Amino acid sequence: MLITILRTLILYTLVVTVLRLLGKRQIGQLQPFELVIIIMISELAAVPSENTGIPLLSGVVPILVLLLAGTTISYLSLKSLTFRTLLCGNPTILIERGQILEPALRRLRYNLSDLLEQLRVKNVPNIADVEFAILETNGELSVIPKSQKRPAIPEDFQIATKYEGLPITLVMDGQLLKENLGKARLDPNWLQTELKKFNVNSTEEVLLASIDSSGTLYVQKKQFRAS
Amino acid sequence: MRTIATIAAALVLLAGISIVSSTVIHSAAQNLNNHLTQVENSIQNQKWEQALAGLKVTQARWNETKNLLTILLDHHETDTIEISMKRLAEYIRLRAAADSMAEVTTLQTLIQHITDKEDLTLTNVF
Repeated sequence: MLITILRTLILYTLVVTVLRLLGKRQIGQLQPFELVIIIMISELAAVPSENTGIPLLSGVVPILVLLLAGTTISYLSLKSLTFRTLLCGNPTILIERGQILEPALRRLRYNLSDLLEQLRVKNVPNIADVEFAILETNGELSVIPKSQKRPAIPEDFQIATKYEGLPITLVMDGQLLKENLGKARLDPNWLQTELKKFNVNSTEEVLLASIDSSGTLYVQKKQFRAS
Repeated sequence: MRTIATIAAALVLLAGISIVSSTVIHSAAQNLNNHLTQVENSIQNQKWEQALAGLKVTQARWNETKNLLTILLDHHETDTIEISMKRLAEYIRLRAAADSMAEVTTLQTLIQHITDKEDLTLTNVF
């Protein structure tokens, strides 16, 4: 049993490392070849974990080969548009200027029920409101509503807005993030002063503190403190 | 550039591991089968003490390479070879000629089989 536990931990560590090396993508946004790699890696890791009669290398080597294949394919996709098109295909327009393109639906074997479902998921329940709908290569449907039906933006009312940058996290789970403090060009003394306004004496009491581009500090205290 | 270097390094590493593991398996199998041939000849000539001594040498060679082979091969294969060696030792001790000959041939086949399984052939790929 200890052997199984040890093998599982080794393979788990390997899979996490490999997935980390393969790059950052959400599962729903994977290209087909990336999804295949993920599925195969999980299968290859599972078999030696449960069967101690198989050498660990029988799982490790194929996983490394898949990492190599995935990295190579990603690199070639980056460098060559032709290769990328061959591997991932092209996005397909399903609705163009408000008209459903039947030949495209038929070619992709994408039925109307699926189309309407995806439109609802994208918060566009009325198909009459859609200008363009594009089926992306990862299977996601991108919806561009008609200009009269899209959410209003300040530009529509010619309202000038201030610049909004990224909020910067200063404290996370009681730990002061010095690097982020530096990026925000702030110093710890300033932070201590500001935290006192929230009845906080130390950064260790803070669950999360972040500052936005307008200088507004958000602070939430920890509910449960470690004794 | 860094990606290409990483891919190249990984390719070299994988190729290296493949070549080294194949070499180790072939070399170990060749060595063991050479010793078993001598054991086989001794059994044929009814020289039981010689056969037993030859088998002890074979077992010693096997014990030296077993741990490395266990990393590269199915444990079932190495266990089967181990069991066959024990059986052969008993047959030789009991001076059972027919059983000894059968067992030594089986053992040679088992050892040959592990190299056949590792060869890059269409049969193994498919």
